[in-house]
Amino acid sequence: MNVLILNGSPKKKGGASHFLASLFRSMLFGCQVETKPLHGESNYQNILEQLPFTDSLILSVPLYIDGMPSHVQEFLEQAETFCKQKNCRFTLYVISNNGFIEGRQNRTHLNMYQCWCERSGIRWGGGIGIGGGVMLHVLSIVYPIILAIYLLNILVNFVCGNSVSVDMWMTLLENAMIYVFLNIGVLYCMLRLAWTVRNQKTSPNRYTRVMIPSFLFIPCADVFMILKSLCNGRFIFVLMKKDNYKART
Amino acid sequence: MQVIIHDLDDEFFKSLRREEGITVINANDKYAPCQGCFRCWLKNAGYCVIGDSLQHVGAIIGASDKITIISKITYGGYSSRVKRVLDRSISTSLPLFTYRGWRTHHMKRYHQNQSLDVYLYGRCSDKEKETAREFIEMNRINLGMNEASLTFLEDINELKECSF
Repeated sequence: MNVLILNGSPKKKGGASHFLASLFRSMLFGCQVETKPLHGESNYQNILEQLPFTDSLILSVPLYIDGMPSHVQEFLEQAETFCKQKNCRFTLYVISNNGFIEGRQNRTHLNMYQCWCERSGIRWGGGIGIGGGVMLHVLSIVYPIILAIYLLNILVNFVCGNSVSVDMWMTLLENAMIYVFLNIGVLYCMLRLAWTVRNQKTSPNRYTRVMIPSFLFIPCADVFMILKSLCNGRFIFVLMKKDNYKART
Repeated sequence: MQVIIHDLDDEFFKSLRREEGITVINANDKYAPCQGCFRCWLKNAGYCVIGDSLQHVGAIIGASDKITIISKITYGGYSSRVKRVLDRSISTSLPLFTYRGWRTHHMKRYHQNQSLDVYLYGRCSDKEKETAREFIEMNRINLGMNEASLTFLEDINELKECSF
């Protein structure tokens, strides 16, 4: 079975959609899988040519102002005509992630892909709405580093001949469990969708998030934004100013 | 101030009844799409790094008290042309988070009362209409607008009976 995964983020490197696409790919054992970027207009033709030979199309895409990113929508507008002309027969699955914590904010976005399927004569296979996409991506970078530091600590103690206490192993295990817990919803929904894709079935839309409450999400996300602006050499207070540009009427 | 974002032919748009002093953004003009770099939040105070005529679209929308969107209905949302303009305008909000309508959203950069009037033209299914209603209400909350209205027009010529 031929599976095509599209990374719908306009970012050339990194990004939550890229991370989620790679994570999902690892669950599709036994399928012929190819991943292609859908960063912008230059990728459209290359993807369209592949569609007649695809059994399942998986789109990992970010939520932009409650809907599709404009370049993804422009691609789908072209794909609608193309699919009708070439009589394409694949199933579409969508993994949508948003920056806000509630996965349900992706609901309307997923419905839009269903509307596209109806117009294009394509089978809708189901989708996942993931809240806190950026946070998941950041966690996937931070946690492996934390775990590596703990492991290194144990290793250094072992090599130097010091005793490695049970506590050290427990701390490592604890942190690994926290990481898995934060991702548990995403892993569950993705495994179910991967099973659906492998068996060429359809499933209802599911919604999940990073497993933290929103009152903790807000301060964490704010701190992240402040640190990121500092990396750009800007204090957040400067960035909160209004842009006094005057438009012509 | 009022701003109209539309994806109509220039000739057709000029034939519509509208007030004086409106800022008009024709979504069919050539604009770059959003790159998703967030530099309008984290590097520049509310303007885009891309130097085309949408560079300050956030300020234009932010300074308006009435925002009118005229778009072909596409999969229960705006056309990709109109969406491209809106994607470039996320600088109307700040990078910091808050609660709005019991869900997390971004804080607003500009604070006047705003209304959103959306006209979606073209034939569509009931599912698309239902999706569009949800979508506009989500837009209203997400963009921090006080009120929003949505009008479906099956025939594009019905726009001539509206006044903007």
